[in-house]
Amino acid sequence: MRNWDNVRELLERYYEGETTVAEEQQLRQLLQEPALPPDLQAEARLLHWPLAERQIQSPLSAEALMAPLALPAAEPKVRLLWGWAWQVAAAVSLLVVGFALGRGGAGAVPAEEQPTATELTALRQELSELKGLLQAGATTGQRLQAVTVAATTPQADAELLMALIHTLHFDENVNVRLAAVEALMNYQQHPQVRRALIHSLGIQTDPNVQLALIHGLTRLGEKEAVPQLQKMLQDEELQQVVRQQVNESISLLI
Amino acid sequence: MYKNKKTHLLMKHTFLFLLLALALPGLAQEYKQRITADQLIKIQYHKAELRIEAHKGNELIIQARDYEAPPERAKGLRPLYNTAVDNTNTGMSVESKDGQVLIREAMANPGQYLIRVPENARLSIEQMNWGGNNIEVIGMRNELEVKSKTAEVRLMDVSGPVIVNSTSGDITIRFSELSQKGPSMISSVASEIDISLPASAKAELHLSSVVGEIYTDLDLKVQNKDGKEASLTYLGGGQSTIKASLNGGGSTLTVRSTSSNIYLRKR
Repeated sequence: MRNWDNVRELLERYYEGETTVAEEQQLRQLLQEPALPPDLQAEARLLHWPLAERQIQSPLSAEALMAPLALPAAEPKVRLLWGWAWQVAAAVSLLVVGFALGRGGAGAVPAEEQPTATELTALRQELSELKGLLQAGATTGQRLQAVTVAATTPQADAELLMALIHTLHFDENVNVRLAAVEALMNYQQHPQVRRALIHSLGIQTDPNVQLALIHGLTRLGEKEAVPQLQKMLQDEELQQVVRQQVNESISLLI
Repeated sequence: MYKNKKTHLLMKHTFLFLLLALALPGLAQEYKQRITADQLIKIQYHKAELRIEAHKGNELIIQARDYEAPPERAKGLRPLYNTAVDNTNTGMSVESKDGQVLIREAMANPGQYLIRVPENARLSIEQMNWGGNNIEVIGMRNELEVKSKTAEVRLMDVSGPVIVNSTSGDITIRFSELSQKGPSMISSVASEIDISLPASAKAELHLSSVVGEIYTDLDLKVQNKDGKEASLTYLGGGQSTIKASLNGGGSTLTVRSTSSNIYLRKR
């Protein structure tokens, strides 16, 4: 019989951002066990960890989750990369988008402006250099740039949104997380974006990011944020300015 | 004759100075370490008062103004409050790891520090808890990240990109130029933000304050302020983001505050 209290404690530490990559991996596996108690099932669902969702048969399948994104030819992918590897992948995908944007949309370029073979080689090299740079860890500036570009990408795909959501939850810089809130507000029509904004209220501890989330969700009129907002009020360490805004937003939303 | 007198005076002063330096050991402890180009220097502090100055050399130099060595009877023992090891004899710990140089406090009551770093180094400074001292940075020419909670942040003659956040410590930034290498972003909850830019700086400005005002004397071209956004903001209690370009546009400079004013001025 497994001691689920240990798992709960691990989960608690995960929300505090104190877990290591190995522990997150372990937690992910633990939350997929069939004998999961109901409260942990709920947590697993909250975390949107795809495999766990499949096991507990969440009413929303991964396909249903991705469907509103209406991606041409993009098969819904369930990403299981974790820790920094996931961050690197996310950052690479953001940069690739930025890169593509920088090229100004290949479809719209007249024939004579199509890149030549030499240019293409140079571009590929640039891209691989970027990847190399990212493997060594992107700087805060590079991550901020990537989020800024992602905010205005006309056709954001599921992976891009997931990368932005991951950045919102876990990037170590407040400004990068703030930029991610703003970027995600541009994709408010996607249900998983709204869910992520609500869920992040339970993760963020910096007043600046908390306020940005609360303002954003209030602007969206997102009534489903109310229970999470009420939960925030129970946190004794919540800054006064945030507490005030939470109260105001609850009264506006209900 | 006069010249001799002057030399004599000079010698006398030098002698006095030497005497003073000998009499007060520990007044200005110093530590030096070579830094490779573009290396990230990370400073995490709790209580120290920091002034960071850029210089043209390639060394990290830490000068403690009022360092007090641990008492004699602590010899052979280790401090429990500070797990970081003072390996510089300045009260600071310096570790090189994963291409970063991490500087941390290694004593319970650190005083004033002057830290000199190569101007092209990347610098990241983080105030680790509420109630620490202020931060002043002068002359940096590369990416500069500052994470403050209550500390007042003053960045003088920096080129950016600058990424600064604070909860309640005022932020003052004087740009010598605005780097086009990447975006800059400055955010605060309840602290005033005062930014000076050269009149010729090229930038895309994204400015917002939820309840404060934004004051400027820059020649801004405001791009949008659509009515739809304004009506939505009523619900959130906030004002919309003003987007404007300066001198035809350039790198993005985002400035946002929750409850204070923003001042943007020509320098």
